[in-house]
Amino acid sequence: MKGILKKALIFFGVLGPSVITTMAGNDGAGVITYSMAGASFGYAMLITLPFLTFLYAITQEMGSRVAIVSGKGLGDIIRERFGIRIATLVFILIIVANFGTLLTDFAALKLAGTMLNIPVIPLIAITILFCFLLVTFSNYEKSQKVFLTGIVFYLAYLFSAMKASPDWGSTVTHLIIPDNSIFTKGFLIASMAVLGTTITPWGQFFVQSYMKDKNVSSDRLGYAKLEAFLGAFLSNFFTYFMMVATAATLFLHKIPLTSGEQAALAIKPFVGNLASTFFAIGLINAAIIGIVIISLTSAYAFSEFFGFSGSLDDPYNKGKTFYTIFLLSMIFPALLVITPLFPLFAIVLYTQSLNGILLPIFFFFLLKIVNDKNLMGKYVNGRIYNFVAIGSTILIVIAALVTIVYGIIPNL
Amino acid sequence: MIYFSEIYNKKVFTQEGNLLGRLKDVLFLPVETPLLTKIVVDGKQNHILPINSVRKFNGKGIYLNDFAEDEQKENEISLSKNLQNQQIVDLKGSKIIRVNDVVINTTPQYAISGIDIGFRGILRWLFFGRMFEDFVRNLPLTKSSEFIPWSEIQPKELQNGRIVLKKAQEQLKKMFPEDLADDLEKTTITNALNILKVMDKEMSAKVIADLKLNYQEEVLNRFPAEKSAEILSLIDPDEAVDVLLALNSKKKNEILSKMKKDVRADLEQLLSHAKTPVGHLMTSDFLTVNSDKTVRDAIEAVKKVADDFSEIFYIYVKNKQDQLVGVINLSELLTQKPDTQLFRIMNQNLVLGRLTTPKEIVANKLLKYHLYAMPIVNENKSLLGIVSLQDISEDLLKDHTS
Repeated sequence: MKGILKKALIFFGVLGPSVITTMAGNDGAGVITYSMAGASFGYAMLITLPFLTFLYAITQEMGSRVAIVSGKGLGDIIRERFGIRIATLVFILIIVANFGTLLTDFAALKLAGTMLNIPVIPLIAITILFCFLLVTFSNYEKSQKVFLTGIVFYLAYLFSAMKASPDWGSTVTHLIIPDNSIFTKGFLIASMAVLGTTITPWGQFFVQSYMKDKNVSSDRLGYAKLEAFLGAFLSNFFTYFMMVATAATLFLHKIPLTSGEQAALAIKPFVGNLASTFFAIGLINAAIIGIVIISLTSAYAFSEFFGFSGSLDDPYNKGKTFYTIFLLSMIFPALLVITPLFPLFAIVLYTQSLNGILLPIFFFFLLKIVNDKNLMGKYVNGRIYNFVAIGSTILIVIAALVTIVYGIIPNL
Repeated sequence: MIYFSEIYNKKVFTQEGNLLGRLKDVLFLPVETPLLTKIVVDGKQNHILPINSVRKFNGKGIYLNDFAEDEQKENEISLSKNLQNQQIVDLKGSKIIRVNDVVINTTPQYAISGIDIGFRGILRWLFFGRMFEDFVRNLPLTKSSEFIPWSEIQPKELQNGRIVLKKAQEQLKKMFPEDLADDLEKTTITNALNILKVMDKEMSAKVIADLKLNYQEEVLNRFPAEKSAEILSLIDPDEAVDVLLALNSKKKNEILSKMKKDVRADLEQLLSHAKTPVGHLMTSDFLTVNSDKTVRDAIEAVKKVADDFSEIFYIYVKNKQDQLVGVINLSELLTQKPDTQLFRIMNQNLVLGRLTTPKEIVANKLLKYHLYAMPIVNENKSLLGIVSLQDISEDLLKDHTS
């Protein structure tokens, strides 16, 4: 009994980076995309979740393994192994992708503000201030506690889903048995967006940088693996409820939708005031977690690629560049979002697909690094692991290509 | 001197002018003097060639003499794998910076002279060369020194695959120009010039001020007059005068003509006294205040010049006829009531020198009266400049040792 207790304690010591990263995958952009997918395709969309969970778990596990074994972030290693030119290119890609996702997260914040009748500009300003103070003036330990506490708010979606009174049996069978509608063009694009918003370039960067900051020793690798799987499961557990909440209401009643925001707004008549309020509170929380973590990723990436001091434990003065990048990453998208003429919906759609399309590029680097014997020693990927990871990457590349083709020729 | 970014991936040609491949790496010895030993060329096959088979490096390519294939020895390490792009940690082990480029000496032999950690190192890789360097140099992006000389790096740790500095990060920023100057004097003048270019203006001015005189002369003779003028304006006037005196008169006048009016007037005055026993030791870094001014005025005046003067111990008090009538030391000034007029508190027993006063006597008087500086006056008793204990001691010590 004592043994189990001890192991549990070690596990909770390691707990953090993967769970925080995967839960942040359900950021504002995530909530909007999942709601939209559930509303458009109903329970059929749920079939994507098992595959997504599995892929999420192994990619997170690889990232945290590299961080624990090498003590380096993804940016560090790309710079060291591939040189300044490639590093700069990857940096630009991540900044563009992050910028897009941040735009969506601020849009989600704006939307939640509207749902709760909170004035938008003060809400955005206070959020930025809160995020900046949280990251700047607290250390790794404290920030981790705040992030982990934020996860509790995701229970709001569980509540919303229950109020939608879905056919629970049917939702479970749809997790395993595919529906006819999955072979349509719209379904493919929607699953690509779901994939792109769940498994993200920033998620790959963040888990590694955050794990590196945590300084976990390599005899704890087993626990980190467990954490990655737990994180992937938890994250998609809540995704499931978000999809169910809109599938059981908007899809069943055939409410036509043109945007993800509509999904969140249209849910109100079906679940009632309270559940709708919960939905909005959950969305604010999701948006804030997304904003902090994605901006942090940009800052981490800059310091890792270009060699400026960057860690959450650095005092403000020492990591000035780090915190400046962090702040700027938040301010630019926020300014765009509060501009009334900003074509929000087009940008959101574009950036979510972009994330999915960029994903194979980041997988390429991750797989090259995780299989590097010089760096990883005996902790390189096993054969089955590689087979699965490379297979999934090829699958995503094909899906991404098809999505691009559909994007270019809409009437195909 | 050459940057690694400038030779990486450049075409390598044999003596017959045939293309052998592209330069991918350089091997070197991780010791106190990090000599380059071999180059790695990647063409149809991989070639490792001894460094002495290189006839010349230039912007277009690398030209070889006769060569014999070689292989990597155990004590040699790879520049592109072990140095370029790697993290540098300080003594405490905290990650601070990354190697953005490597500075390689080409004469008298190929050796690494240091590491460029600056933003410009990155630009050199991205934009293929030094195109943007001068532009970026003038931006206020990076203030601290961006060059780490090899002498700051622990060679032993490099063999273990880590780049570790000999000092802690905080100390690195306060790296004394004097130490850098010592390093520079050991290398050739071309290398020194290139290393100075990597540093920001203030740092390079300080380093130049600390170089030996014959070295300063060489450096300034090779810099354009505008640049020399800029550097000399940043260093102490008495040191600037020493350097100017060492140059030929054409160069000297050229440099003076590029300076700002007030700096130039100061220097010219000091220069005109230079041939006298103490003239070349005088500095114009002194503060005079009229005797009817108050303590508050004087303190304000001190604050205004404190940044520009290398040291300030005394406030000299003059009357309306510009005659030196008293002196107050800084600590006395601070303890007086703000509204007191200076003539009430100044010390009227002045220890004065003239341009003709021999150095030894100046030094003796300074020591006897426990002073840090002596005012030098002309017949009218107007203050020409001051001679500090520091400067005169250095000068006498130099006479003594030479």
